[in-house]
Amino acid sequence: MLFNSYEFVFAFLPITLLGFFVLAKVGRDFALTWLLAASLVFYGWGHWSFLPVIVLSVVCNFLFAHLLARYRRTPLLALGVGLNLAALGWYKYAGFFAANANALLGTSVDVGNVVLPLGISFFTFQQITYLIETFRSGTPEASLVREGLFVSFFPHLIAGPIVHPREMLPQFARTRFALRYNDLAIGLAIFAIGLLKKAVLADGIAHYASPVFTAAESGESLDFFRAWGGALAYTMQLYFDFSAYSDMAVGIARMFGIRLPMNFNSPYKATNIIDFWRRWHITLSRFLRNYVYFALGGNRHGNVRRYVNLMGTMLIGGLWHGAGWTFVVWGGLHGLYLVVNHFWMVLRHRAGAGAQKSTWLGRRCAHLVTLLAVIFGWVFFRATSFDGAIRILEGMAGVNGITLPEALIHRFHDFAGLLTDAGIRFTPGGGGEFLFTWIWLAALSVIVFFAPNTYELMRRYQPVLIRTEGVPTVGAALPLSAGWIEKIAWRMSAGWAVATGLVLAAGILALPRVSEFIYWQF
Amino acid sequence: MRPGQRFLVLCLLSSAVAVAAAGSLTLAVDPYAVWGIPRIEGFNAVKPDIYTHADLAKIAQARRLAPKGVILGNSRMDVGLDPESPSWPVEARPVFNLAIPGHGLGGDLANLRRVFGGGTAPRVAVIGVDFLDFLVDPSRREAAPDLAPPNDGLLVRLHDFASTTLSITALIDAVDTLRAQHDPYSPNMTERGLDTMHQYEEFVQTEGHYDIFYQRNVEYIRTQLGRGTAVVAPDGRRSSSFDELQAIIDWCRSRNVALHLVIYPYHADLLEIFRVTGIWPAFETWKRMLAAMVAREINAGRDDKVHLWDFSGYNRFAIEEVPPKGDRKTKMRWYWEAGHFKSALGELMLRRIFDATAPADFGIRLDPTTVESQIDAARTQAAHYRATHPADVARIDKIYRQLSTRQRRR
Repeated sequence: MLFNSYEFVFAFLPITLLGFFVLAKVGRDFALTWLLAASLVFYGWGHWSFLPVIVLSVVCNFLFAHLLARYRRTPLLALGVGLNLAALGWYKYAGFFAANANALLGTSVDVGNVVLPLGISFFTFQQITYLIETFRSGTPEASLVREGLFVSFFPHLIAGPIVHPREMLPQFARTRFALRYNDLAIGLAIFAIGLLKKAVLADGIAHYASPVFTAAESGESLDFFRAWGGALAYTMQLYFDFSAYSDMAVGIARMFGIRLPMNFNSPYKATNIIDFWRRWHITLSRFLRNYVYFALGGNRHGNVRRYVNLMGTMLIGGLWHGAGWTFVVWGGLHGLYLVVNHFWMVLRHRAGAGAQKSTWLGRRCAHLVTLLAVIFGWVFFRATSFDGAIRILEGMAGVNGITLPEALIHRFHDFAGLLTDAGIRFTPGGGGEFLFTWIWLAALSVIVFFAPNTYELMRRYQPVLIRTEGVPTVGAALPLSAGWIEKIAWRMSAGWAVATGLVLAAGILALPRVSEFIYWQF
Repeated sequence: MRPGQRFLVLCLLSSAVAVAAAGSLTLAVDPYAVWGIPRIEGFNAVKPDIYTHADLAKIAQARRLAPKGVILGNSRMDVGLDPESPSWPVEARPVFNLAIPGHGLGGDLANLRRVFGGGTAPRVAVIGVDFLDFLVDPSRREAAPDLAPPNDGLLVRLHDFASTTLSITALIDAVDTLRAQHDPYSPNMTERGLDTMHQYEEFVQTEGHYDIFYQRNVEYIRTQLGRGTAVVAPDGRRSSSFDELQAIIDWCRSRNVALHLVIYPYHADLLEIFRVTGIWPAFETWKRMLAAMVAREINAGRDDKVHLWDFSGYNRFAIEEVPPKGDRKTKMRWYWEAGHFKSALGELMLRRIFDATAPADFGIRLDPTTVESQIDAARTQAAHYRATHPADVARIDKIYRQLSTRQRRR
């Protein structure tokens, strides 16, 4: 079920909330069991065949964790992690590996039509975290319902955040749940912002991204502006789509009195790639760092090994997003970016210049370079084939020249001669599309680069779970935002209630144009 | 009341008020004509965004009119046949243009069923059949014919209501409707379902016919390069459009509807595109197959009820000269571009169909006895056109060469 659908907004969510708080009066476990059942309905809605996969995963990992806590043997842990990875491997990568093996070895292995269960990449990583943490602590979760909810709590089930047991299980184990209007209000406000981002902004700009990538995939040559328009539109679409999902997940969870960790923190404001990965899909970065990069040795064996480990981690991160070589290339690119970034920091350090000693201009340049690197990567991330990606990049590099719609000449004929002299060609048609693409991009850029994000706006109400000294702490506050943000920040006032209502109305009015979240496919 | 409680009440209330206000505005302006709110000059008479919901708009308007005559087909019919033409016979009036851009025959059948439910039927149906819908690609699986009764269940109707009334797009379109009332070039659909094509008049003034022809010719060739080139695949498969057409014929027979099937008067540019892309032989085969389908009806004693009119060929209208590049003054008389004829030509088609005294050189009634002579005549006309219009032929050849070379490089 989609967050941005009528059945979710007007039926599933209100009924689940109502049932939860009514049952919470009877007892905590009744409420949690209701929430687990609702989460399974949410998961199975329209995809009932996937239900056994997640139920089996919950039950098996629950039992395995108890086994691990009792015996605490590394091979047993490896077996548990391996089984989870095997399930993910079968559903997500069997076809990919079979196709590549067939191409390389001339075999004809056919794995049939394996359908990818929704969210399996996310809940597999959570199960792995759960097993490792149980192995370390020796204390498994006693309740199957709570363990089940940790994995399948519907706000984060399909597309994250990839939660950690220490973040969720203590919240589920609290003595009682009671309806708190403040939580409902804050949750609703965050949800409304997310709905607006998805239904209006992400789906709005998608209209200008998808046709360009489709054209490139079908072999069309793209000129400079069309290619850049498509790549930038996708860059914005992905941002608002994922940001929207993250907001909606945080908001819905908050309505139940549960806080989720932050997963998205204005990533396009990053001034280097390391910073980018601390802001984009934060919980995936954390998983990869804790359980892949450190497992490979991290930076314990010198800089060269560190770079190799970084590259390996990001390649795995790329493949996690999808079974395709374009994702591997995207991961490899980010691995390379991170290596360059770390190397640059080493050089700066040796030259006696710390990261803090930067000039305004230097930071703006770094911001621009980071953005360009990210956009370059997104082209591979979005394209379904190398040919398609290369065609977009060729266009962006100006290989196919610069073309403007002829309609623009008629409006700006004073400059026509100048533009023609500069080698710019004019083609009939496409004036409206061109204009709207760049107007949309300009408007969204203002939000992305200058506006405070949802968590900054809601800072005083502790919208997300923050770690204080490594321990997830409900009620811990984010660092203070800039003064002007504090001044305009959201508060539980009449004015903000009306503003939130209008944002919610805009989101509801955009529901007929329903579309899936991009991260659902991973 | 606690602060959170007060916030929630205010927030939900303002949200409900905002949604209701938006709904009221879209309802009053009725940008897609789905509610039948009277069109008031200067307020909502012009509907610039109606074609974003062309299906819903046309079905709603047609149901209100309960027409006796109906036009079906794709965008060529939508812009080309005027339902208010004086040439329509009295028994066909009122006429509604139910042709929808991009529609295949399956969509036409569905819309016939939507508008004429419960045993009602029009007396006359004029349906455009587009050769390009009948091509099959042997390497691809053909889609199953679209013959299922339309699904207009409660959920579908609720969704339609939301998208036409309680949606941000509808709200924006309502505001756009208010804004566009004095725009002479605003797109619009008349209450009888005809596309006024005012926006094309602006294109002609700003870009000229040449550019519009060029741009659409590129699209036609590009589409054709990615599509099949035969109407019968080597394994005998045919396009599902044949089944859909047969279903329409059956539907009309069962309701005693006089059916006029129309082969479009494509401009010579598009006919040349048929030639360069290698689908001209298929065009001829298709005509024979259509004539055979109609012959079965005629043999069943319905010769006064089923007619197949061929308006294609290099006739005096189809060879209308395209103004040179840069000419933004000349307005073509018969065509907007190669695929879309103006309603002036549509008027001559209607006259030919319904007026026995109309000149017989434009629009030939096809059946197995006339189809071969018509095919031969078209070939002769084509050869003559190529001999007399080398520049126009070269113009199409050049675009084709450029696009096909690019495709080969891939």
